[in-house]
Amino acid sequence: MKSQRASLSHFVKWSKKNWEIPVFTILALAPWFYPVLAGGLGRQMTSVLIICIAALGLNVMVGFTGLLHLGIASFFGLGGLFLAILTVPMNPLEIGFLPAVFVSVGLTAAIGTLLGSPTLRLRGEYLAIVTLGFGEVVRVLFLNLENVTGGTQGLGPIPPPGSGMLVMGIDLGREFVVDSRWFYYLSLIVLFVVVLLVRVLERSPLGRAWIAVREEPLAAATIGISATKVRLSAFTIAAAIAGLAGCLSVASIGTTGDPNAFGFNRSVAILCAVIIGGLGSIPGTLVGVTILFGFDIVVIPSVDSWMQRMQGQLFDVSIFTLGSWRLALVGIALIIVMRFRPVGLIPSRRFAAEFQESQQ
Amino acid sequence: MDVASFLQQCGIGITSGGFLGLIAVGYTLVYGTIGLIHFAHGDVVMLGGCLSLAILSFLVPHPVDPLTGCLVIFLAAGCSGLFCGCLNVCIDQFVYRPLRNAPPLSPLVSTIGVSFVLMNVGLIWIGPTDRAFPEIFLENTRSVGGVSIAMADLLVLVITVPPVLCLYVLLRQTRFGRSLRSIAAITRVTARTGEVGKLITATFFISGFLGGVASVAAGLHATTINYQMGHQMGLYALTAAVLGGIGSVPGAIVGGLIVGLIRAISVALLGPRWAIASVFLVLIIFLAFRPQGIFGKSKMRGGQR
Amino acid sequence: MTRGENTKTSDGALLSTDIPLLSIDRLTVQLGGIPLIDELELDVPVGSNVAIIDSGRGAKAALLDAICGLWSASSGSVRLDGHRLKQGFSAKTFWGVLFTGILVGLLCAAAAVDIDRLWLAVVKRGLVVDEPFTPANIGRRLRGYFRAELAVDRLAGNWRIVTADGREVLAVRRNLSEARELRNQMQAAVTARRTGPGVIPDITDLVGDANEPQRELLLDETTLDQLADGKSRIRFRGWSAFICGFLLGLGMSLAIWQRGRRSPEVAARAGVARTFRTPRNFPAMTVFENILVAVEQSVYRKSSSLWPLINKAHCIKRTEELIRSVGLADQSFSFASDLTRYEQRCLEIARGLAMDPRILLVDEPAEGMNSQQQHALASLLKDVCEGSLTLIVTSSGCDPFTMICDRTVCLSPQ
Repeated sequence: MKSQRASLSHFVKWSKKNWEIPVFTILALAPWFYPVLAGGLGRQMTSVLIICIAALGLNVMVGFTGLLHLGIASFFGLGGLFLAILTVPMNPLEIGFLPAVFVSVGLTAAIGTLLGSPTLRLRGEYLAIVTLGFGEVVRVLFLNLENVTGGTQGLGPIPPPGSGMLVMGIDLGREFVVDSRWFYYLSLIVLFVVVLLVRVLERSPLGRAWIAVREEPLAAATIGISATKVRLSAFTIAAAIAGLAGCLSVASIGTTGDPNAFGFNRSVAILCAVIIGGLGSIPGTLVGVTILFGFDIVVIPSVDSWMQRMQGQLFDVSIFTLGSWRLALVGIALIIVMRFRPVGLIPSRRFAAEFQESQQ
Repeated sequence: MDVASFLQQCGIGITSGGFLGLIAVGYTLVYGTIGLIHFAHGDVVMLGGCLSLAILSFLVPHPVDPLTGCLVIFLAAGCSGLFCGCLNVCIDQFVYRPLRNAPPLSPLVSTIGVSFVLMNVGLIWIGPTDRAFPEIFLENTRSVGGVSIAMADLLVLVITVPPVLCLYVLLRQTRFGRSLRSIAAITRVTARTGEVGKLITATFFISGFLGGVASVAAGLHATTINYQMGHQMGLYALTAAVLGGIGSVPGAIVGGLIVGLIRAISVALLGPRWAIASVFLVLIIFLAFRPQGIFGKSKMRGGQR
Repeated sequence: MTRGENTKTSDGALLSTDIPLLSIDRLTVQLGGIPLIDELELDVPVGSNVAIIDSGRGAKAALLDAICGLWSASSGSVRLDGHRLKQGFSAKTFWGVLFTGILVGLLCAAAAVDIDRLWLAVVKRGLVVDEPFTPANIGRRLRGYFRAELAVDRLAGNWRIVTADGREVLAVRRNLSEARELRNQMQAAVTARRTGPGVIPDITDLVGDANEPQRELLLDETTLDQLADGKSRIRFRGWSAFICGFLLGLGMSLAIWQRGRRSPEVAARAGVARTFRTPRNFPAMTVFENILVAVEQSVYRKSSSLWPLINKAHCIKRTEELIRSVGLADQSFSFASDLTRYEQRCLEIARGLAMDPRILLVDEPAEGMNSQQQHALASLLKDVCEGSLTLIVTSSGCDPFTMICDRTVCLSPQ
């Protein structure tokens, strides 16, 4: 009995440290035990996973480097747009999925660097407004350059990854279209890789420099850390990760869709997810996104359709659907979480320590 | 573009700049006292617009003569100003006040949350589509030397200038204004003491009041309002506040005028779809040359001394 | 002054105590118009320990800030080894500025020539007429766009002859070869109009519109003039936008560079380390990490290789050494925010030393400590400054720190 308890507490301790292994195992096995995931729910789960990736990118910027970034969704959109331009049959380029992903992530990172280099010397709020403005500029460009981006309709259809490839007699492209589990696994693998990457980065010399700049910019400068360069690297990495997420998202939906989806609201929602999860904490980010976007993408539509099935008459009035109170619910949730856990749901060790010091 | 139409666009720019400046003052005042970007301010303004729409459509179902129209508008501006001021104070008391000592990004998330809630209230109140502001005057436009001036735009100037003057007097000449300007640095430490708390409440009320007045002006200028108006206006006004140097009241008004002019001119030259992009491009370029904004203080030792 | 010979000191042999390591020349620092420091002259030789005494608080901090680049002086200069602590205009800066200029110029030009239409003309129209997407074809289409040549496009099964940007439809044909023929003739007429008076071509057998045979061909004198004019218009727009953008980009990047020239990291790289009056450590890092960051920075700077390639074991060894030298060995894994004032001060000094500085500025170490700690810290400072390390300490009066110094400078005139 005692040894059992000891091993249990040992396991808890171990999984606190290596939380990603059980979490990802459960996520990987879920489609077998819960076949609904092969259908529409799987698609919704996939989009939550993809937003997790983008949020991890934002976490590098906001959490590690302490810069407020209000335009992450524009990089998300840019990544997707580049992928679409490079792969849709409408355009003559039509390079394969994998090279297109590399090129579009590279381009997104380059654009991030270009935006960052003149603006990263700005003070926090100014930078926030510049990134917000950049997001709006990108959205407007998407809407107005109709020949390049397809305007409000978006570009499509984007061929699924590995289309036309035959692996062991399976047509990969067709499988990706038919079974949503393929994209689920693809996103899961990418998410896993990004989690590891962000973890390695956090513990690298560069990551330490990020945190130094966040905590005490003056002291960081006096030991020779160039705040601009360090922040620029974070900005670029955030842009690249968000671009990667954008590529996945666009590929899984099949078109770039309405550019308004890459606007301010999406950026702010991702930012909120990162902050309520806990700044600078990787599991916190994942939890934050799962709660906020899971509620928005998965829970609300299913609750609404369930209510409609229950009583068609009453719930036809839009005021009685959950969807029409969506914004208020999310807003109240944000306010409440911040009221009772101002450092986030799963704060990182570092951030908690920093907060404690500022309290003293 | 000939001279007359250029002047016309300038006129539009200045009128819209007037109310953008008022909203921007709201951002700047709150930022100057508690160092928080009050994202929900635009939505507070939007709710003020909803209220003034209700008042106006109740009082003037049909166009009336200018004098009565002016009175009604002033009444509506006053009401919506009071409403927005009180709303802002409530938000501060219930949402931001417990977070005065939280990490800096937490209240920001709360402002976003409040903004969502208010937007939803607006959506339920006036519905998802554009709502037309009632016609108030019999005579809509008047032509002066080839430049046609909308009566509504004139009225916008009439109702935006007095609050600005009052604000100026308030900040420059009274003890309240002086203490308001001096608390910015110490707020985080002493937020719980009564004196500073009162000042913060007053700040929120003033910024809400100005926003409420601006909402009537915005409705008159644009002739329609919708529930996303707050977000749009908020973006422009925030840009104006930053352009003028956030924390500086004259900067916010000048920034508002500049943003209004840029918007009007780019609408005339490139069409309305490029307006927001050109405003932000100008902002980005400007900040590269002068990172603290027009009237902002240049930072010293990385901002903290 | 004799600055010329000082530039040779890089080989180390010429370093001697009579050549000042740090020389401050007529330095004036102002705060809101009031001079905190007025025309200060100070030479600090290598290896010396200098105490700066002033009863007020502002002037000492301002002097240290001016030395390490946190605060720019209103006049006068600070030189380390005869070099001003400013970033020079290097080749890298030049290329960076030029690149930014060209990039912004290109962006402006892209906006001016309407990138959307350009994409339509180059990519979309190529697909319409089923031309392979080869570099030669792209080049031809690009040239065509910038020369404002007429083009053939398809809409709803019909072939249309359009202007380069696709705005105006000149004629509609059912047959591609016919449309091409007509386009060539019209283009010839436009080209003729560009060089000379030109004439409206006799294309009567092709006149008319496929859908509306009665409609006349839209190629009269004014249209021809407009089409001929298009080339100079688009070129003018493109080039003027490019030049404006280029100048804008140059201005922007130069303004940004100018602002970042006198930054503390430049001074830090030249070998100036400092501590602050209230210790500024990285609160959410352990003591070990606090120092490791600085060590890594200095190793990275010296090796000038990429981040992942720096020698990790060496960094860790050096960090442990430093922690032991300031006596924080048993604290090395607690957060910096949990340390006492004294320990924080030690940590700050160790962090400064991690950069292998040539000069260490310590701002009011006596503040907030009892006399025992003051003595301990003073002896620690004395130990670490045994060699060629130069020390500048500020203080508000006589304390153990002024004792370890071999020179005392009083800032206030009395």
